[in-house]
Amino acid sequence: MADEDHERPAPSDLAEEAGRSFAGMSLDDVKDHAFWETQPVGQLKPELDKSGPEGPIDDPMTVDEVKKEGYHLPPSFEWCTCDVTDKKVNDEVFELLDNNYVEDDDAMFRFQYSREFLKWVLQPPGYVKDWHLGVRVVGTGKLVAFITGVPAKLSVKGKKLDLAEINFLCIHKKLRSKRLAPMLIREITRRINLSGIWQAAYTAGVVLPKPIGTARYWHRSLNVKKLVEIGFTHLHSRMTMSQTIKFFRLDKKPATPGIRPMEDKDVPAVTALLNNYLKKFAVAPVFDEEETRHHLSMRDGVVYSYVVEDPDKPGKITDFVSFYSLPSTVIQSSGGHSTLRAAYSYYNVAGKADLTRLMEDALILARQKDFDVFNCLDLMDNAQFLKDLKFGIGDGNLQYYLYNWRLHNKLGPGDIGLVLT
Amino acid sequence: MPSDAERLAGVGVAVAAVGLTTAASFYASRPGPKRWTRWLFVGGAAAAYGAYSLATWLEDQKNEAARGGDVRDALETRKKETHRGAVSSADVPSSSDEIRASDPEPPARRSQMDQLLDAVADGYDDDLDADFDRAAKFMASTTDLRLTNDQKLRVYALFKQATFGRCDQPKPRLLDGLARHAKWTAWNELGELSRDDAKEAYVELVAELRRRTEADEGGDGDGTAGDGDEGTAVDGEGDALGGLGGPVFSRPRMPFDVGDAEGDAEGGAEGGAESIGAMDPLLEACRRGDVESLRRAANFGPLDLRLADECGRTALHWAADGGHVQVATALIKMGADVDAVDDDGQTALHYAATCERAEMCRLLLESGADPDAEDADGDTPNALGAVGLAMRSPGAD
Repeated sequence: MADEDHERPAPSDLAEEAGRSFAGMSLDDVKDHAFWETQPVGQLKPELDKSGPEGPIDDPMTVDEVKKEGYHLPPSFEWCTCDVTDKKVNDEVFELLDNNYVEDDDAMFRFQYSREFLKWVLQPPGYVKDWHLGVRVVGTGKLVAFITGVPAKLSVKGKKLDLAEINFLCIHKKLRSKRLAPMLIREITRRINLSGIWQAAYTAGVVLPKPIGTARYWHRSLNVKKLVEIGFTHLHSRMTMSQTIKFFRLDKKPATPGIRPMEDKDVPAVTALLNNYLKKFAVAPVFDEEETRHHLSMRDGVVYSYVVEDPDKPGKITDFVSFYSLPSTVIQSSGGHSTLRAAYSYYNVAGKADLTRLMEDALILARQKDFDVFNCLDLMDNAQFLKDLKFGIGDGNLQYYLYNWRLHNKLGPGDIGLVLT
Repeated sequence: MPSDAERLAGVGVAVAAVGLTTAASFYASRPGPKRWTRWLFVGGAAAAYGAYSLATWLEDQKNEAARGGDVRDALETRKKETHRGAVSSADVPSSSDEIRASDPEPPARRSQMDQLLDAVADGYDDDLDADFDRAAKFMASTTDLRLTNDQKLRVYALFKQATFGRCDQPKPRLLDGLARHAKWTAWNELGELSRDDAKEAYVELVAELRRRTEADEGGDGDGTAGDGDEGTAVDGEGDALGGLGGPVFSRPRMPFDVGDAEGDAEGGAEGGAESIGAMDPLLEACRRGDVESLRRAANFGPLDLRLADECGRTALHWAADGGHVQVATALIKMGADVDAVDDDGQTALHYAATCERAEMCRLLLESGADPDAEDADGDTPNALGAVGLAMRSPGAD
């Protein structure tokens, strides 16, 4: 992994520098691949792909071999570790992401992770503060770039891997040409390696070398009038709003007998239910009880989880549904709406209940919590219910990646059991 | 060439007849009771018309015969082609002669049947919509097409033009990224291209891309790496690395077609929306809330405000549904019936209440709409909240 020191720019970097000078913008397609082609990942160009058995791509390393000092940043930038429990730092991270993180292609919406969400997702059991990496401007101290890793256990085709889940790679819009992204990835890799972790999982909208699988977003309107007003979706030209509202109308209350919010006492049962279900997927997390408690307990405004307690056998948990809250800023706000409230399907297990009915209840519960739309990837068993529950196909693909782990064949969405936040 | 001779004869007769008529009219214009010249005048005109008809008829016959011949020749050729494997190679030259002979000349004048077929084809706009939806669905669902940036931009631009019409977005700043800029430019360059034309071009482009991909897959596989690289340029914006992490932003690829879904679920009870032709311009203007178009149209004479679409929805229904208060006000002034019902027995007030359009509810109620009109399900606007909404409307007393 931590393959080379970049104090002296490699020839490819010089070429990148020249390419990027155009109008101050990066020609990232070229740059990205120049970077990713040096990394232990599957390659898009077959001639670059190191063949070998499924498993680690790099030769085994020890922690002693990992570079001890941080990579050098361009002058005027410095590394920092971001403690999101510190109110001031949490605000800085929130603002950086709020202004600079993922947008749609038409610049109408931008993800707005809440402060509470960030605290939740960045501090799972065993989290490492050093893996919350920032870049500040020397002097002003302004936070201009960010990337995070959190520890996770993943089962990849039956092998249990302790790895890092990489998230929130974000660079201030005005600094996109400064070659910061590869530096952030190298530095976080180094920090993760120092903990004796050699693999990572991450997702992205773009195709980089090389996806292990691809999933597609689907969207279910909960408040179609608002979604049309903010331009998230459009009415079919022959459909009235009235007709469309009626079409998407949901029952007021969930129908599965015994469905209720998850409580702390449910943690052992939910852990067992989840692990038993997730083992059928080629790539899926493995949760212990602490992790279930952290990732899947109900947290208002962040993550919502419900269990079905068998009415005939009190105490017996048969099913589980969950979704998390990831709102987006409406950039050109219209009709008095400034926020798109989106629920994202998380982990769902239908034991006794029918999955479609269970997910319809999830829609109803999300509607009760005032969400405007319910988003869902077509992975796990989700393809079963998307059409029946009136989801419409989205324009976003989510590419799944593993760092330093070779798989011979691309996975189908139904083989993927991992949902990142 | 007998047919040319025939035509020449026809033209000759016509010229003679016209000459005769001219002469007759000349004599007829002179003073004096010369009744016979009038008969000559009429007769000449009749003769000229007859000659013209004859010439036209002859020509149609000729075209007809030529086409019949084409079909026969083509059949003949095909028969020979299919036999060719078995028959000796001596057949080949003659068969190729026949192919040449059967190449249809463009007919000098299109027959009425052709024109009729075209007219019928023009009426099938809904076919275009269906094709477009299919193409869009294909593009939405496929991940196999490896497109160059130019192709992606073209697909993007035509899709936008077909679904939204002319580009009305502000020009993005260069800071927003190359890709966004390129997309905007591609869309904007389509200018006033009509939505139907854009749909047609989109359908053709998608078909072409599919064909190429299928051909590529059948052929050499070495385009993969290069194409993959290009693929990130548009999608990756200026910060292909910048969105690395959890979810990506996604939104529905196309407007949700209720008819489609109901068609799936209920065996097409509602009928797909795409099976219907183009929308009446009046209803379309009211749907969009285009009060200017409505006024311009009204200036040309009274509008048929009872006009309803395939679901019984009038202009006022569409205006109420969209919450277009100005349009609704204008329609009511022009005498639109506020209590007109659609096929489900719903009035404009039902629509306004369902869509929670407070100001519209107030306008309709003040214009005498019935809050207690029952629709097919027995629901009244009042039960749907119309009166409560109207009272909460900003302009309410």
